[in-house]
Amino acid sequence: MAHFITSIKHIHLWALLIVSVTITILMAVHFGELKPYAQFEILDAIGEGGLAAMSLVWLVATLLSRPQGRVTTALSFGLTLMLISLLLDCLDEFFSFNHIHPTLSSLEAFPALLGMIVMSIAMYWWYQEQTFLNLTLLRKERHFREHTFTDYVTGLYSARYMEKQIDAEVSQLIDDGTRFCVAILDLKAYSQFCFKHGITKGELLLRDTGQLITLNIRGCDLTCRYAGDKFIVLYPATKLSTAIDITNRVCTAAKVHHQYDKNLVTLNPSTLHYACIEVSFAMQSEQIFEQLMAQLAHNKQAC
Amino acid sequence: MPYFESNNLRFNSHQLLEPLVELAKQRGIHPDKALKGTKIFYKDFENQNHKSSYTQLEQIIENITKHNLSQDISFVLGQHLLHSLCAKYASYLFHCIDLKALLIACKQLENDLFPYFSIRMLREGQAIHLLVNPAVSEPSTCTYQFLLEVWLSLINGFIKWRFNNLEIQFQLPYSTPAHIEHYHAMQVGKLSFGHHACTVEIRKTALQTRQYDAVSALQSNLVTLQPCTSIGFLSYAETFLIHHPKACLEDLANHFKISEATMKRKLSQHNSQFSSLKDRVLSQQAAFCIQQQGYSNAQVAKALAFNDLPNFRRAFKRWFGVTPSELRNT
Repeated sequence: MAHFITSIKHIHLWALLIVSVTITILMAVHFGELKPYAQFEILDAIGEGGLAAMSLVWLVATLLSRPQGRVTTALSFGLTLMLISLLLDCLDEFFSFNHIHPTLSSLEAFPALLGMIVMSIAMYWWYQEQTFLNLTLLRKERHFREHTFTDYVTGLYSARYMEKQIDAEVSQLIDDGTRFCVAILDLKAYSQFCFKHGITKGELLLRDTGQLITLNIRGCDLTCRYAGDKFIVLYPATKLSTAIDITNRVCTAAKVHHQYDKNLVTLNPSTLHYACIEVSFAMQSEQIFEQLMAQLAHNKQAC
Repeated sequence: MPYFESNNLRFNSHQLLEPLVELAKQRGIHPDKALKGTKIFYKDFENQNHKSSYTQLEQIIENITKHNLSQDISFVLGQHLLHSLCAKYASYLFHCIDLKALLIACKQLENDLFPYFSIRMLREGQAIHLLVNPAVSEPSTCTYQFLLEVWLSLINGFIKWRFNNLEIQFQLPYSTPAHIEHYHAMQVGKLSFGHHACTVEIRKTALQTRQYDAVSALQSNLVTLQPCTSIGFLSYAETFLIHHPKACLEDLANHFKISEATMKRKLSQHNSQFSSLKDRVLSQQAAFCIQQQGYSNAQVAKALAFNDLPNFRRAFKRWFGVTPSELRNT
C-alpha cells in the first residue's frame, strides 16, 4: 500500500489539493451560518459550482498529463487557489459569513487573483520550457505542430505530416520555382532482424534508425516515418546531388551504428537502402511516394 | 464438435491476443483500455495456457482501432504471427516444393494457421481465385479490415521471404484506406480496393514457382502436426450451403443437429442471418461466373440452382445493385 502511494506521480500536489479543498469546505460549514432555503439562489449555485468543477478538471488534467517540475508545481498552485476561490463563491450561496464580519464574503475573489498571478508566472516558464523543447524537435518538425500525425513507435511524424509538408513545398515550387528533393530510406534486413530478435527489439531498431537519420541530416530537413521500416526525408530547396550526398552520409552512419540489447550484446548493424528524387514540377504527394517506392524497389533489385 | 462458436474459449491467447495488447501498449494504449469489455485481465496472460474466444479478440480489436495511434498494429501483428507460425510449422511449410504444394498445405492447416478466415477456391482457365470470408462470426467493417490487414501482412511476409517475384493480385472489400502507405510498404503484388468480396487471384503459371531451399524429402509428416479439424461456425454453415445451394433454414439446422429456432438464435449470435449467409455464398459465385468465366445469365442461374431467369436477375440486382450485364461490362 505504502509503495503504491509513493509511486503516485505528484503525490504532494495531490495531497495539497485534497487538504485545501477539505479545509475550505470544513471551514465554510463550521464558521458559516446556513441560509434559509428561500434565500438559496439555485441557478447561481449551479453556475458557480460548475466553474469550480471545471477548474478541478483542469487541475486533475494538469497533474495527470504533465511531468514533475517547476511549471507543473506553479500551474497546480495557481489552479488550486482558483479552485478555492470558486468553491468559496459557490458555498457563499448556501452559507452566510456576515455574523463574523460583514466584508468577509467580499474576500473570496482574492485567492483567485493570487492564483492567476501564479499561473501567469507558470505560463511564462511554460513558454520558456516550450522554446527549449522546440530545439529538440528541430529536424522532426517544420512550420506546424499536429500531434495526431505523430508516429508513436519512432517519435517522428507520420506519412500524413509529410504529405502536408510536400504539398506546401509543391505550392512554393509553383509560386517561385524552388525545387526540392525527397528521399526514402528502408532497412535492409528488418524482417530477418525481427525474426531473430523479436518485434519489440525491431521497433526499438526503428526508433533508433529514426534518431540516426535525424542526426545525420541538416537542420532545415525533415524526417518522417512512412510505414513499416521505411522513412522519408524532405530536403527543401536542395539540388539532387546534395540530397544524394546527405542520404549517402546517413547510410554510412547507419552502417557503423550498433544496436544493443538489455545485456549489452551487440545486434546486427543496420544498413539502409535508399531512393532519392528531385521534384521539379507540380506533383501530388501520392505520386511522389509512388515514384520513390518504385525507385526503391529498383535500387533493391540492383543490389 | 466439427465447428466452434464465437464464444468458445478455443484460441491460445499468446498467439494473437497477447501480442495485440502488447503492441497497443507500446503505442500508448493502456492494456486495461485494450481489454475493456472482454472480462480478461492483463495478468491473466501470465498463464501460459490461457484461452480466449473470437468475441474477445473482436472486442479488443474494436477497442484498439478507436485510437488514432493504432494504424500499423495490424501489419506488425501479421509479421509477428508469421514468425510464431513459422517457428511451429516451418518443417512442413518450408519444404513444400512449389506454390501449389504450399496452397494445399495451407488448406490442410487452415484451422491452425489463421482460423478467423475461411478460403474458398474457385478455378478458371488462366488463374485460381481464393475467396476469403470470415469463418467464425460476421465481423464489423473495422474488425474485418483489421483482420484482413493482419492476414495480408502474414502471407505477404511469407511470400517475400520464401519466393522470388511472385505475381499475386489482391482485391479488397473496402475503399482505399487513409493509411494506404502501410499497404505500399508491404510491397504486395497488385492491390485494388472497393470490391464486393476479398479475393486473391493467382495465375496458374505462378503455381509452379519453386520455394527457396525446399526439399520435399525433408518435409515433416502432417500427422505429427496434429492439424485441428474443427472449423468456424460461419465457415461450417457456408460449406453446407456451397454444396446445397437450394437448402433452407430447416436443412441447415438439421445439418447442425439443432432446432430451427436455435439455428436462428446462433446465427444472430454470430451477427448473421440465414438469408444473408446464403446471399453471400450465391453472390460470390455469381460474380465469379460472370466476371471470370464469362457465363451467360442462363448458365449462372443453372449453376446457382435458380428455377427461372427473372428470379435470378431480381436476386442479382439485390446483391450487387446492378444487372448481370452491367456487371459484365464493368
